[in-house]
Amino acid sequence: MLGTLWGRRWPAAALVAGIVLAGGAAAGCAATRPPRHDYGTIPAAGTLPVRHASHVASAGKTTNAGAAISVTAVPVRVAIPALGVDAPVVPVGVAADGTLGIPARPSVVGWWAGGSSPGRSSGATVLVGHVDSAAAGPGALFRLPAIRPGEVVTVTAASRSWRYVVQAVRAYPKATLPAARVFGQQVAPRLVIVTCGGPFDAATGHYLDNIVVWAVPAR
Amino acid sequence: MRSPKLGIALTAVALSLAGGSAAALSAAPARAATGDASVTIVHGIPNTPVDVYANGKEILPDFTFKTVTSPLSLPAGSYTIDVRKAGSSASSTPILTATEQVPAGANVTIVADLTAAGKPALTPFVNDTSAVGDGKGRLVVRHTAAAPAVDVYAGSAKVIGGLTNGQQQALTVPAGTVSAKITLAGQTAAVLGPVNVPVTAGMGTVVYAIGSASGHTLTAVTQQYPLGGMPLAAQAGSGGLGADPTTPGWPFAVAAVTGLILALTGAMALVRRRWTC
Repeated sequence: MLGTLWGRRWPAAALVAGIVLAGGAAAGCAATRPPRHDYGTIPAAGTLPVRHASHVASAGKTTNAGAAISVTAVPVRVAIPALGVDAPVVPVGVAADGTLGIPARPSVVGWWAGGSSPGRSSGATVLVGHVDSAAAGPGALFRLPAIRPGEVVTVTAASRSWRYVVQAVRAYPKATLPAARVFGQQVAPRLVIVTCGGPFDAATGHYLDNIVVWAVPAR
Repeated sequence: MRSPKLGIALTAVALSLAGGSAAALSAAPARAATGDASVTIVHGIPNTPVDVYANGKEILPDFTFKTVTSPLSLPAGSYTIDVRKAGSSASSTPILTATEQVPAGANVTIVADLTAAGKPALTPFVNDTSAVGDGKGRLVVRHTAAAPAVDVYAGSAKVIGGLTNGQQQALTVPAGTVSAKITLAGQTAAVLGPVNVPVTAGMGTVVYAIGSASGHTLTAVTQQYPLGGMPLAAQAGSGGLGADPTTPGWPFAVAAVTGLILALTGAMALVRRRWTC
């Protein structure tokens, strides 16, 4: 009886099971594709303040020209509460091959000392951090690729906190990193955070992508 | 932390004289054709708290011995620096005064220091921001103390010989910690140090010998500044832990093909049954 019933119904069962299997496979495959990391809008260059150097250059007798002088607020700490990131920051420079330096310890984030700093009237304050290291495991910015527009980043510099709101997150293959767009200084004040991500090339020990986060000062 | 074998690793790359004149600054290699200049001020005069003015405006009140400022960012131009005894009126006669031409994009340090004879002076230095190799930094030693010629040791190796007041010398060294010691030229007993100087890749680290040998106030302070121009790339991970999932696609393909065959077989059987019924 049961056998007869099955004998009649197997084609329908096979049809349904097949559709479910094929559909599931397609969905599963789509779910394993790398995230696009294409969130939000990169801030425009914006309006830059006009600096009249000639005003301070007149014969050394000018008064009040010192107003144009600003003390660099050197970042010492960065926090991203939404991701549980809270790390010390040290200055870094650029090597002869153009590679931005990065602190030897993966738990420490670098601040490009050749770029801008919090509170300046223009320029990009650039932070760079390890996503991880082969020797030490997850780095300070391990969770950075999960950041999204609207989330807050705070930078501690000159004994106060500077709040920034994330505007955009992008992934770029390292070979095509738009350096001028990421590191360029002819822009209204912004914070740029760079780390590595995307697929990992075990042969070279490097990630193939840079993850770049743009943020602007919170109002 | 690496402790490089400095005797071998150190390479002397430059020896330059820094005069106490504005001319030294006008030769500054601009880091960029445009952009603000970066100026750092170092206090190397013992027992003399001062107020520092730039073009008539007080920029550093109560600036004390051994202090190194954060870099000051300022538009290119001519700056008159006045140094007055701390707390004295802005119109009083300065202890020191100098006019410096600061080019766009320059990186400059001005040291309020003592001459070899122990007189206060303002000594400007141009910081060499040219890049060095990956994993290396620039170590610069500046003699700005009331002291005779000195030798500089890194570990047990003499790396700089006969440096006199107002002079500097730069070395390219692997990132790490340098144990530095300063002796009077030709001697081995330290007049200063040893001190651990951290050298960071891509950064210039400047050690200033300040104070007075006869006054027993010789000491060292350090400054760091960035090397290189605009970055082109960043390598910020080597572990692969944060890599995007790279689950192979073939199990899904097998499942999809199996599912399609199963569905097709079932459908055909249903159709055939209809025909035969």
